[in-house]
Formats: sequence, C-alpha cells, structure tokens
Amino acid sequence: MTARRSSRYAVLNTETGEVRTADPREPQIPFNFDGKNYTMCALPGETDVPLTELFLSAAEWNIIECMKSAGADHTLVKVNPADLALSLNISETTAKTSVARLVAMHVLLKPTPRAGVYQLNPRRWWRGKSSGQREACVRLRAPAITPDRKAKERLNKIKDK
Amino acid sequence: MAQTAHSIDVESLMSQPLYTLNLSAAQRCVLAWIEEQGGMWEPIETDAEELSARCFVSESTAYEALARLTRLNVLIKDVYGHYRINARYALRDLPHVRDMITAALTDPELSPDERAKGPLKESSADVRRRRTLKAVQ
Repeated sequence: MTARRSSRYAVLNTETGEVRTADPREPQIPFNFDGKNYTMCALPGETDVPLTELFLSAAEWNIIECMKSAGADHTLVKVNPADLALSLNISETTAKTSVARLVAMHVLLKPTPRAGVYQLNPRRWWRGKSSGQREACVRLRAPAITPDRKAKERLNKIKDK
Repeated sequence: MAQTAHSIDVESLMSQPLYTLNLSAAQRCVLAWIEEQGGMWEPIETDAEELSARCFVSESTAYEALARLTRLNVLIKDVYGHYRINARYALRDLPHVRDMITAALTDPELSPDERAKGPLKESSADVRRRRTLKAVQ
C-alpha cells in the first residue's frame, strides 16, 4: 500500500518498543507576523482548536473577515446585523445566527452579554503590540476557542468513518 | 503630504475582500489551513488528498477548492506545484508591511558621502598589530 500524506504514521523505538504517533506536519503557531509592533495572529504556544475543526459556514467565515477589516482584531466594533447582512449579501437571520454561533464558540467576544459590540478573540487574532495582546486577553477574559455541539458532532461523524 | 511622481497608491497593493468572491465554506477552510501553514510567506506543498484530511472535506471538494482558489488568483501556484497566498490579499492583514513596502518604493536611495568613498579607518588594534608583527623565520 503506497504511503499517503494523509495517512496516520507512528514512530517505533526499536530498542524500547515504545510507539508514538507522528504527524508529518509539525503543529504550527497560527500567527502571520511576529514582532514588537507588527500584526500578529495568535499567542505563541496557544493550543486553541484549529479553525478547520469548527466547521464554520461560508457566512461565518465572511463575518470573521468583515470584522477583521472593520478593526475587530484590535478593538471592540459595533455590529449591526442589518448592515452586516447587506455587506455580505446574506439574510439578516443568517447574520444573527452566525454571529450568535461565533460568540458561543468564543471566536467573537462581547464585553457584556447584552452589549452590541464585538471583538475577535485576541488569543487568535491580534493586530498591534504583543503587550497589548496580553492586556486584551486579560481585559476581555478571553477564553479558548471551543467547538460547539454541531462542530463536535460533525468531527465525531468524520472520525467514526 | 504632497504627491510626488513616484507616489504609490496603497489601495492598489491590496486585493478586494474575499467575502465579495462568494467562496464556499470548504474553500475558506482550505485557504485558512494554507494560511496557518505559513502560506502567506512561502509556497506550501500540498494536494487535494492532504487538504481533504486536514479540512474534513471530500477529495473532490478539496480538488475543486484548490482549482477555484487558483483560478481566482487567491492562491498562486508556482512551477513546482506549491501554493502561496496572493500577496495582495496577505497585505490586507498586514498594514505595517504594506506601509513599509510603499515607503520603500517612495523613499530615496541611499546617497554615500565623501567619507563613504574614502579608505576604511584603521582601528587602533590593527595599528598596534601592524607595529608589532614580526617576520616569520
């Protein structure tokens, strides 16, 4: 059977018999640029769930990008679902449910439950100084991004196949 | 700031937002995975088979996603078949790099003065060494 890049590999220690699973791809820190004052993505060493395991819909991806363009990667941004729906060419209901799902998974954070302002989770998206990123995480009490029930069910279904 | 003959329009260095391209969730996933692997900075070697496993989509979907993203020039494929994210899209997320590039295109070139063209100044250590060098016997 030919080896495939997507196959699951293991490393065998022939002396001790210990077996370790090996991933041909090393875990990557999802940051774009690292520096004192440059755009960054994630805290180094952050072990949040990869975005591919959240099973986001196209509308949810677009909302993340729209929020990033609006500056939600370094500050709180006021979100009006009607304006969001108009910009992204989706229905207002879709915009509201997508935003709600992103908040439930901690991709978007709100300072208070009833606030109409949102910020992208600074553990995963940040633009500015690294010290500012740490302060934002403390100020927003940023939790780790967590898949919701829908994402977990889809992942389990795929892994069970 | 006064416009010069060599001033660059910053907006021309950036791509349009991706949400205007009507990308599917699978295409977004593929792009996000390539970005996480460092695709903004260097070409990434991957194929539909690996993307299918990493992004939890079928191989045909991954293949179509790669094809569409390449056709839209969101991904640039090099001669080796590796994929890199279009720098114009990358610059949307990196305003500091964008500003640095535009500054580099408009900043004047270095202008050496007379001292730069003159001989190198000998350090005191070299002078001392020259005075104490002895011939090999």
